Amino acid sequence: MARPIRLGNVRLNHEQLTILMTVIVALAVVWVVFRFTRLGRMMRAVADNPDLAAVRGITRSHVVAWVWLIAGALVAVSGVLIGLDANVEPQMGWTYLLPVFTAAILGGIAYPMAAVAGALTLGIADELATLVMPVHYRMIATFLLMVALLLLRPWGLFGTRWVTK
Amino acid sequence: MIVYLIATLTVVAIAALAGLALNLQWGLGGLVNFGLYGFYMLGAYIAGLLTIQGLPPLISLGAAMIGVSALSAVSGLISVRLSDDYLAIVTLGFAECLRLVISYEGWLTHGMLGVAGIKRPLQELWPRGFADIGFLALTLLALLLVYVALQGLARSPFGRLVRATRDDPGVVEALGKSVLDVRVRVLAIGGAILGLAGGLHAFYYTYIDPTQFGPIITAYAFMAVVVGGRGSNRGVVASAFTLIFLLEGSRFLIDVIPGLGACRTRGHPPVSGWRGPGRAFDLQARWFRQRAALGACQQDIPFLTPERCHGPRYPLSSRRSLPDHLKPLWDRMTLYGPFEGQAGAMANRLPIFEHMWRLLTQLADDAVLPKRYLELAIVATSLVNQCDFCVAQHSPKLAVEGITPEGAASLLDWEKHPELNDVDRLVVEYSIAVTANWHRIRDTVIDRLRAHFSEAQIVELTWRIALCGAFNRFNDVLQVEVDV
Repeated sequence: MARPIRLGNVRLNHEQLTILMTVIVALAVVWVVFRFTRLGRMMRAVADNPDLAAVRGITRSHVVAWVWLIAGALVAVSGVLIGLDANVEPQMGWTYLLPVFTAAILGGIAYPMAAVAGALTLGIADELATLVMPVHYRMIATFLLMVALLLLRPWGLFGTRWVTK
Repeated sequence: MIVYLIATLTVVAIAALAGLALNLQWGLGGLVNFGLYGFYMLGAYIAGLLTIQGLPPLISLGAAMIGVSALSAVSGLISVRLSDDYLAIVTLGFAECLRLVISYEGWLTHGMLGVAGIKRPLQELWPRGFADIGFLALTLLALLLVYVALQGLARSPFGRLVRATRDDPGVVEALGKSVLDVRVRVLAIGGAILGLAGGLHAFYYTYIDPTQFGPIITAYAFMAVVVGGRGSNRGVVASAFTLIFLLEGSRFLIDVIPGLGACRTRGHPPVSGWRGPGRAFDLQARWFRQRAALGACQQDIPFLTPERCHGPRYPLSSRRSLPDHLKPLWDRMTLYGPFEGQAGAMANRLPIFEHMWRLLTQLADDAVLPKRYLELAIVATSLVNQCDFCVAQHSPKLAVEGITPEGAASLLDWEKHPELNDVDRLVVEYSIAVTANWHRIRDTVIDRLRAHFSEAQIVELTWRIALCGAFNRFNDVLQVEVDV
């Protein structure tokens, strides 16, 4: 294992750098697919109005299958990255369930890229919460944040109102 | 076999109660309650904690029902405005937070140690030897009462209203009924039944700890409702009985099909994903392991036989087999406590025994590092490594320093530990960091240590923590016993 890189008072592990770069690449790919490809447009159409999308000749099951494929690949990548930073164990998915949902809700469920901002906000809020509550209660901070959002701004920090919950 | 049947029937009846509660909430009311196990757990804890405070068990059970019902209603107020998947994640998050609080608020819930010695209701009524049958009768009676009540509810006008809110809340609102009101009531009634089921769980096992309650309870309830048919109480009871009997029955396959059984190494949960052997007996096994740790014999438990773990995995050396020049060292070792098992394992390779114990005794003679900090470091490290044997070995040494066995077992919660002073906390924090996070220890940690310890002491402390990690692995892998 290589020694961590030191930038002033900040220590950065090599794995953390790898993770950061992989995430940026993955995000760029997803963004391009969403924004500029035919598949991305089809996805947005189905999410927006399935009936109208069907009328325009989009096969819903086809799009859904693609969504699962991409989501599965992303989840697999994230699992590997988590394994790099923390450790791999049977319960690891369970630990991330709540934060992941919260991040998605935080960003606004209809905007995939907003989940990134949501996750960052959540991560910082989580770390700050440890100043006022014990570390092992971090999940409670996540949960409270999620509940507050669902009650006050169910369309997310960045989304718009039309999403029904 | 009769004992087994009674045990299984009791567990099935409790599971059927949880299934009925879910059938009301989700089957009739359309409220996806993934956090069912949290409410169930809360019921068990209210009933258990009140009972050991000396309250009559039946009154504790009533309190559990009321408490869980009230909390369900409150959680409903924040979450019933949400649609299916959001409600599911909120209830799940709620249950998980509840489990965290119960695990860590040891002053209230006894934390991970669990609540032991819970008295069952009406035990004095049954003749000696019929306690389990009596409890089964009580559980079945509770199941019958709940079933009749729910059947009545389903046929009543309120039942129709509940089904209507499930099928189309908009129409119900338009007809002038409050959907929120109906849903909160459904959650409250379901909560009362979950409180009852949880309370019966606590009474049946007479011992509860946070690890008994997980999403698998929710999963069983959903399986019962899905198989039985959403909305059908009769179907739920029938499927609960069928399903749990299948799950329980499958444990006998271990004897027939090789490779299914997961023999546990001491102190660790089974690693294999096979969940065949039913929960009931997992719990009983845990309970008996606890008793075994307290000195009762594990051999007399018939249904543990297929999974009973073997003894030490190495030939034991004893004083007799040592060369003469090492015998004095062996005698000194025995002064430190019941370390014959570990030393006997080491003595299979004499240099290991000789130099390790020379090191240990010489470090003890010099006494550079106060014993209190050394033992705190060893117990904390062994807790991180889940080496039950090592924790058991060293907790008594902490008792000399004024730290209770319960306190020693909860060292990992060092931040607010009542029995530790600031230097103790620093030592425990450092031990955990060296064991679990050694490649990320910051300079500030060492600086804080320097404020209280000399360089030699820091070196010895670090060495002893690392060595303790080695001992943990050695003892665990070779299955060193406490009293060989």
